[in-house]
Amino acid sequence: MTSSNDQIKSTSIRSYQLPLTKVKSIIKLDNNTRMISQDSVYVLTLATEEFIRMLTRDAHNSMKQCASKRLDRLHIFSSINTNPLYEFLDGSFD
Amino acid sequence: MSDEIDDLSFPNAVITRLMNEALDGSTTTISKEARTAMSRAALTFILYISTTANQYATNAKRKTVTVQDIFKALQTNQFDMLIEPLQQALKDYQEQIRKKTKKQQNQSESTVENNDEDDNNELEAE
Repeated sequence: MTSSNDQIKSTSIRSYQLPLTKVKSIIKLDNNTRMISQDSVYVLTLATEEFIRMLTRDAHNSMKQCASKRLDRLHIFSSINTNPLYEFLDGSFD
Repeated sequence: MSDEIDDLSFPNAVITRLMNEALDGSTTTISKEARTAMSRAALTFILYISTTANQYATNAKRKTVTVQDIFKALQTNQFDMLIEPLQQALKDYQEQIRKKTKKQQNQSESTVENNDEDDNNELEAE
């Protein structure tokens, strides 16, 4: 299984996948954040891509535990409830 | 606020592709609801890290959030494992930009030189 290191390394050569402009728009939802460097947007974009992979891997493990072949949002929620790393996501899906 | 958030969902194809990268060639299918939930999770992550980073910038009396603020925010929020590979990716990214800018500069410089040569030739033809 590829590690975070490998994923991000190969991504840097390929370039990012999430649109930078959309990431920036999300950052701007917070009125307190006025200006942000382009490098920061880039780094946060890559970080988000890896975050998605991480949460997917964890959700995949939850899915395997209930012997399913279809990744559903319940598996994602299960990972969020189990791993303290994802505590900040509590309440985002209401 | 929720209208804004809905408008800011990511392209389905990209979310699906990223999720499939993590599923590593298995035959797992991803439900639409899972994809939507993941898109929302990503959005929350971005806001979470960026607002933390902005607090660091503000504390340091700076108006612009820098990559150092982002790295600090990742560390504070237990995402240390991402920092090193991100730093390397950033170096490569900055190098790519530098090379691109240099190439563009060289191209415009050589265009100027070519124009000068043409002028000389025209004079000779006369």
